[in-house]
Amino acid sequence: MNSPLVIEPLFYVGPVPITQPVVATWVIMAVMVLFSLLLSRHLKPRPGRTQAVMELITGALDHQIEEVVQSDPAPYRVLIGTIFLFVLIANWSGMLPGVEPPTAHLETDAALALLVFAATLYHGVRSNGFVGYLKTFAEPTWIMIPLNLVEQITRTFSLIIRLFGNVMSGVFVIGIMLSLAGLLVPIPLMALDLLTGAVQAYIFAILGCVFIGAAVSEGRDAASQERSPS
Amino acid sequence: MRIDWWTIGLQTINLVVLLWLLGRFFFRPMTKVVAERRTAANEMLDAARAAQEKAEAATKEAEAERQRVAASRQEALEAARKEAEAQRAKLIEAAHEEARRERAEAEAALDHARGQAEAQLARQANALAADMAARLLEGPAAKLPLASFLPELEHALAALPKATRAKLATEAAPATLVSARALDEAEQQDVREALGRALGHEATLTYDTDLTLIAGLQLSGGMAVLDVNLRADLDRVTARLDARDE
Amino acid sequence: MTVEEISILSAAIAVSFGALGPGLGEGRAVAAALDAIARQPESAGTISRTLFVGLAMIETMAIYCLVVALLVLFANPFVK
Repeated sequence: MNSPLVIEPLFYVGPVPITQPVVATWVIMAVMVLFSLLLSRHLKPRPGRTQAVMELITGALDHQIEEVVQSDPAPYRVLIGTIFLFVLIANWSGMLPGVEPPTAHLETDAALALLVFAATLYHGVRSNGFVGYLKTFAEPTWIMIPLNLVEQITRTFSLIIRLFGNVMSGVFVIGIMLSLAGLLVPIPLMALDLLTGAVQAYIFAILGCVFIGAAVSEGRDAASQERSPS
Repeated sequence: MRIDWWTIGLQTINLVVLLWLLGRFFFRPMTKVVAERRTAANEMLDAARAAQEKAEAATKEAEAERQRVAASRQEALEAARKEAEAQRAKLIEAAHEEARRERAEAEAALDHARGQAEAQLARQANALAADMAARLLEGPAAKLPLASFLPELEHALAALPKATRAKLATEAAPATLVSARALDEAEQQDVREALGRALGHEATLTYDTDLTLIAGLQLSGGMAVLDVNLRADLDRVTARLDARDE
Repeated sequence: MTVEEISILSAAIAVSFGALGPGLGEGRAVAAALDAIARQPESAGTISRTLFVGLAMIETMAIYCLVVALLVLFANPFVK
């Protein structure tokens, strides 16, 4: 059985090894962009069925972001929405035969968490100023500075490990079941994987939102800051 | 365990590109269309609210109009009622007036009729008195001598105009002398003489009798009739009484 | 007992105990959340969102154990 922690390059472009998650991500990207192009070409004030579903999703996203951040969702909409949709599609792409979800590998999850980490820094600096954002690390006292720094790192790692562990375990369990029983038996586990994939996509997006919201609001309102979990 | 740093880098670039693409081609048009629809909906809501307000204003105005119409109707009714009352009062007044006038007229007519009846009565009384006088006088008056009337006849003739006198009792047109009783020869002679004196020429006479004269003479000839008798006196008296009673 | 056998045993122990604690914790969290929703149905949305995030936090512990088990199984530094 192959280790889920190791990926072999499919081919090389010059010195760059191209691995399976990268190719899968490209395909997913192509599908998403094509779909949005088709959709945005046919956007109407009176929505069709597809447009209505998409508007429902974006509206729900806006609502969730607004509830977590407690401010206008417009600056965070693109980041959180893209992360949610990408993770969701990537998690569910494991249902297609022969496709391994890109999120079942540490590298993709690391890239996603890196994005969230960068967005946290960016929005924290943008709303509090550079010095103001640095000051938030000394909340509530300067003794907390090392802990806060460590927290920034650990929560990013926990984001990576959570998504990776959930999706990878699902893929792993289905692989084991297939090797043991074969036909029809993995289907309930695959259904569970669908649920887990959707929940993990939601949790990843919401946690990213919580982190960004905490970075934005910590300087603004120290009393009601959200202690981010490690 | 081996972390593939190339894959991490590639995936990060992939994700950033996806972020940009989705932001450009998915989220921006979606947000725009939603905002547009919201604007349109707000506009429609505003228009609907404005229309509703207008309708309410129109309703209010119609209500006011209705009340105004009702008030004016009430007013018109009141005026009509007043006018009818005035008309009625006037009619009643007119009727009263008419009745009063008719009563007055009736009274006047009654008075007139009564006056006429009284006059009639008086005339009858006069006639009766004259009649009674005539009856009373019939006996004694017949015995009056002719001579007592002649001076009066002469006097009456003298009052006539000369031309009439000249044509009276000529031979061509003899006058008629009517007396209450038949005259004898001597009396006729006296009369002729007296007339001749009065007329200035010979009198040519025919004689006649009429009992209704009671006593006295009547000379008629040409256009003149001279009455010197009691009947004529009675008639004059009666006429004068009637004139007084009228 | 070889290193491989010890590795397999330790992986099983890690996963079993790693599943035990989060299982208990998640049960308590869901019970408390249901209680809160029953008391205040109007704030069910906020409660369930927080519940999901919290469950994900708790589940992370089990996932950590799973990752450790996988490391022990597939990336054991003591296996040559």
